[in-house]
Amino acid sequence: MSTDVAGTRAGGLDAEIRLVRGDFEMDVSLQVAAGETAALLGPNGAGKSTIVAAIAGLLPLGGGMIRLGGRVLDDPDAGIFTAPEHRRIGVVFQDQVLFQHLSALDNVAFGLTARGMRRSEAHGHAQTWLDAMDLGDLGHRRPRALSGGQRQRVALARALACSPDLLLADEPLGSLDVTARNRLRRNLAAHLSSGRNGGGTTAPVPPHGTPNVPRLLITHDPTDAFVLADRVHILEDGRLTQSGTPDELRRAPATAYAADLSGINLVRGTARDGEVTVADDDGTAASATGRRSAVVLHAADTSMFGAVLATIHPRAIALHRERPSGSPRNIWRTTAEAVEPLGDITRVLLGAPLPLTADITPGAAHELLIRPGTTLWVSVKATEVELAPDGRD
Amino acid sequence: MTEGSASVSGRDSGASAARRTPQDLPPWPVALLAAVGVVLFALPVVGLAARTPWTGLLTHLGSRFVVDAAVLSVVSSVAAAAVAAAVGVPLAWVLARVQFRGRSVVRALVTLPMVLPPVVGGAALLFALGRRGVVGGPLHDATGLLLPYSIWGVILANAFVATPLVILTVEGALRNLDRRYEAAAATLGASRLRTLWKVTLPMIGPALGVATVVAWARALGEFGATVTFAGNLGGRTQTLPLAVFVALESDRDAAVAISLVLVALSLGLLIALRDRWWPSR
Amino acid sequence: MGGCRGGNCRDAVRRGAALVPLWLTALALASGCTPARDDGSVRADGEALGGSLHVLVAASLLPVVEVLAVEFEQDHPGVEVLISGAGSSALREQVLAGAPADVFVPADPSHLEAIRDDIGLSDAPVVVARNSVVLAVPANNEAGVTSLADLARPELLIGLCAAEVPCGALARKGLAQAGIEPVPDTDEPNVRSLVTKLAAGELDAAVVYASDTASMDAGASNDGAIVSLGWTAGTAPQASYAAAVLSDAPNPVAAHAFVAYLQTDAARRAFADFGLTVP
Repeated sequence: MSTDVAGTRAGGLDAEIRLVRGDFEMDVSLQVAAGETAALLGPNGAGKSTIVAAIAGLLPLGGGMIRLGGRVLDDPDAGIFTAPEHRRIGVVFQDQVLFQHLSALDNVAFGLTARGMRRSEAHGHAQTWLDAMDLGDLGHRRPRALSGGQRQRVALARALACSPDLLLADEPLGSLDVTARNRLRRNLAAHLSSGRNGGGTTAPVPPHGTPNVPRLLITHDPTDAFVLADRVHILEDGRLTQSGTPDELRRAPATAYAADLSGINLVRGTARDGEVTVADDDGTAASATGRRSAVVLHAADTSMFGAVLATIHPRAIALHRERPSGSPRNIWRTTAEAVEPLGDITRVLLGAPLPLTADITPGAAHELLIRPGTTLWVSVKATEVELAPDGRD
Repeated sequence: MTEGSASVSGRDSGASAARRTPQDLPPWPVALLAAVGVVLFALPVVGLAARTPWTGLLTHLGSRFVVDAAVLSVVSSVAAAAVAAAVGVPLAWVLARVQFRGRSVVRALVTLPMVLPPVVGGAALLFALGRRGVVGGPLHDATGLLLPYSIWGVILANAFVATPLVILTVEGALRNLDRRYEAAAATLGASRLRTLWKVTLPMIGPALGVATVVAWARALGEFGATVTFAGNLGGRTQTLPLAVFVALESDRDAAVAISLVLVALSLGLLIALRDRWWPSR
Repeated sequence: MGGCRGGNCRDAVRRGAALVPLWLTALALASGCTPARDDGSVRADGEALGGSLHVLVAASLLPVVEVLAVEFEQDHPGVEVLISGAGSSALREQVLAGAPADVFVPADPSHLEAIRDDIGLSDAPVVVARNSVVLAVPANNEAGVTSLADLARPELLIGLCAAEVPCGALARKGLAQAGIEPVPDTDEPNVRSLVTKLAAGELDAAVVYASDTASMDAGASNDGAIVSLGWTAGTAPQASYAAAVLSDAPNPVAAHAFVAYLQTDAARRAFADFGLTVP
C-alpha cells in the first residue's frame, strides 16, 4: 500500500520539520500516506524524539510546516500552531506513560471523556478496546499491576481509542523483554496492517485497527522497522539519509548506518523444537538449487512453534574456505554472489541454498580470497538465530 | 534490562518476607544520630508530661476558655490549610512551569514568611490590611470589613505563614513530575485545565497531601503573626497557642494542660495521616 | 546578641526583632536582648567593679534601664551590663529554672516572693519606680475618645492587656473601681504589642503604662505616636518596680552597686523622663 505520492493524498501526513535545539539542528521532510505504516529508524541521538514532539505538538517548529489531512497543524511562517489537544494524533509513548493513578480501563477511556463522551459510554468503548487487546479481564488494574507487554497494549488501545487522524508510536517495543516483544510485535502488526485487509470504515473499530490513517513508528530496532513498516525512513543526526521500502533499503544502503542495520538477515519459516524450516518466497518449503530438501536452521530458542521470523545479524555469520570443525549447529556450503567493500566492513552476499548477507572485516575478506563465485563454508551458532513470531501472516 | 530487574525484584521479595537483610539495618553512626534525634524531640514531650497536673487536668481542659480556644484553633487551622492549598498550588504551578522575568523575586517573596519572624509578618499584615493599612484602609472605608480582631484575621495570619510550605513542597513535586504524563493527556485531547485536574494534581497527590498537613500543623501552632495581626480575645481570636502564652503568665498548670491538648491534637492527626500519605512499605 | 544568655532568647518574638533591627523600633514588641554597649571593652584593672552583670527587668522598664545601664557602664568601665527584658512572670520562671541573674526588677513585687522562697534575696527589695496606667489614644484621636467611659463603647476598637499580665490586671482593677465595664476587642499578651496596635491606629483607645506614652511621644512624629489622656477617674493604679539582688548572684558587688545606682538622683531623673514616678 505504499505510495510515492505519500502525504499529498487526503488524510496523509506531510511534515517539513526544521528545528534548532542548542547544537542540534534538524531538517527533515517526511510524508506518510493515509493507510501507510512508515518507520523512522535511527540511532540514539538522531532526533527521533524531537520529531515525535514536533508532530504531536509538544515542541513548536522553528521552520517548515506540518500538515495532517487537510489541516495545517504548525506553520511558523503563517503563525499557525495547533495545540496538542486539538491535533487528534494518537501517541504511543516510549515507556507507555500510562496514568499511574488510573485503572487500565480509565486510561483507555481518558481520551474519550476528554473529548466529551459520557463516562459510561466511554467505559463501554474502552472495554471493547481492552477486549480486542486480550486485556478484557484486566481493566480494573492499575498500570503497576500489569506486565510490560500488557501495559504496552493498554497504551496502544489508549492511543487508538479516540480515532486519531495519525498514529505515532515511539519505540513501542523498546522496554519489553523478548517474549513480550514478540507477542506485541504480532499485535502491533495486526493493528498497523489493516489497510491491507481492505478496511474501508472511517472509525477504527477494534480489532480492525486504523485502516485509513497514516501510522508512524519510531524505532531504533531494524527488525521492528522492516517487519512492521511499508516504508522506512532513516534518520541520522537530524537529517533523513535514506527513505524507501525495506527491500530498497536492503538492496542499496546509502550510509554506513543504513548498511549496518539493513544487513540484518530476516528469514521466514516454520519453527518446531528449535528447528526452523525455511520458506521460499511463495511461502512453501524452500527448494535449494539442485536439491529438493528444505533448508533447516537450528535455533537455541526451542519455545517457538509455527510461523516465525528468524533474525541473523550479518556479523554473526562466519565464513570459511574449509569445512569448519567445532560446535556451530548451522553449517552449509554456498557461493559468494557479490562482494562489497563498505568502509570498515566488507559485505558478502551469499547465494543458495539460503541468500544471506555476511559482514566480515576487509582483512578476513582478503585472507579468504573471496570473489564472486568463490565457494565458501558458512557457520552460524544456534544462539545467533533469534526467533520471533511472524506477524505478517 | 527488563529481564534482569525482574529477576532481582523476584529475589528481593522472597528474601525480605522471611528475614531482614543487612541492608535493612543502619550503620551504627546513623543509628546513634537517629537516636539522638528521637531523644531531642521526645524530651520536651516528656518534660511537658512530667509537669502536667494530671489530677486537675479535666477541670483545666473543661474550662470555657480552653474549649473556646481549641474549637477556634481547629477551625482556623483547617481553614488556613485549605486557603494555603488553594493559593499555594496555583502559585507553585506558575513558579514551576512558567518562565518569566522576576520569577526568582516572586519565589523569594512568597517564601519570605518562612524566614520572616512571625511577629514581623503579623505586623506587616497589620500595616497592609489593618484598619489604617495600605489596602485595609480603603477596604474598610468601602465595605466596613475589618480583618484584625476577627476569626478571618486569624485564618489570614495562619495562612500567611503556612502557604509557603505548600508552595515549596508542591513546586518541588511539580518539578520532579515527568512532563510526559501531561503531554500524553494533551495528545489525548484533554484541555490544559482538565490535564491539571485529572493528571497533574492526582499525580502530585501525595506531595500535596503532605504539604497540606504540614501547613495545617504550622497553622495550628502559629502564635506570633496571629497575636500581632488578629489580637487576642477569648472566644474570638484566642487560639490554643495564645491561650498557652497568656496562661503562662498566671496559671502554669493551665498552660501546661493546654499545651498537652495541643501536642495530643497535633500528634494524633500527624500519626493518623502519616499512614495515609507516607505509605508504609 | 551578646546579651542573649541563659535561654532568654528562645522566644521568637524577641529573636525576630533582633534579626530585623529595622522593625524593632516600629514594633516595639521586642522586649529585647540588647547588649548595653557595643564595643564591650572590659577593663578590670584599677577598678573595684568588673565582669558581666545580668539584669532582668520587666518589659515596660526596658527602655529606661537600657539608658541607665549605659551610664552605669560609663561610671564603671569594667562592667558589662547584660539586660533581659520580658514579661515579669516569664523572667521569674527563667530565674527559677536557673538562668544567670544578678538583679531582678519585675513590674510587681509579688514576683520577687517566689524567688525569695526558692533562691533567696540578699536584701529586701527596694521600689525604684512606679508606673501609672493611663488611657491612651492614637495621636489624631479620630474616634474622639475623652474619658475612660469610652472604653465601654462597643463601636470603638478597644484594647487592653490580658488580665494575666500586670498592666491588664491593673487596668481592670482601676476600671472596676471606676464602675466601667470595658468591651475590649483584644486582650494583648503584653503591653508592647498593645502599644504597637494603638500606634498603628488599629485601636481607638487602650489602657497602657504612662511610660509607654512618654516614650512614644518622644518619637515626635504625629504618625505612629500615642497620647496619654491620663486616668480620668480618680487615682490611677500603679505598678511598682522593686529591685532586688539574688542570693546566688554571680556578680554581687556590681549587682549591689547597680541597685544603689537606680536610687540616685540621676537615675530618678531618667525614670521621670520616661514617664515614671519615683518614690
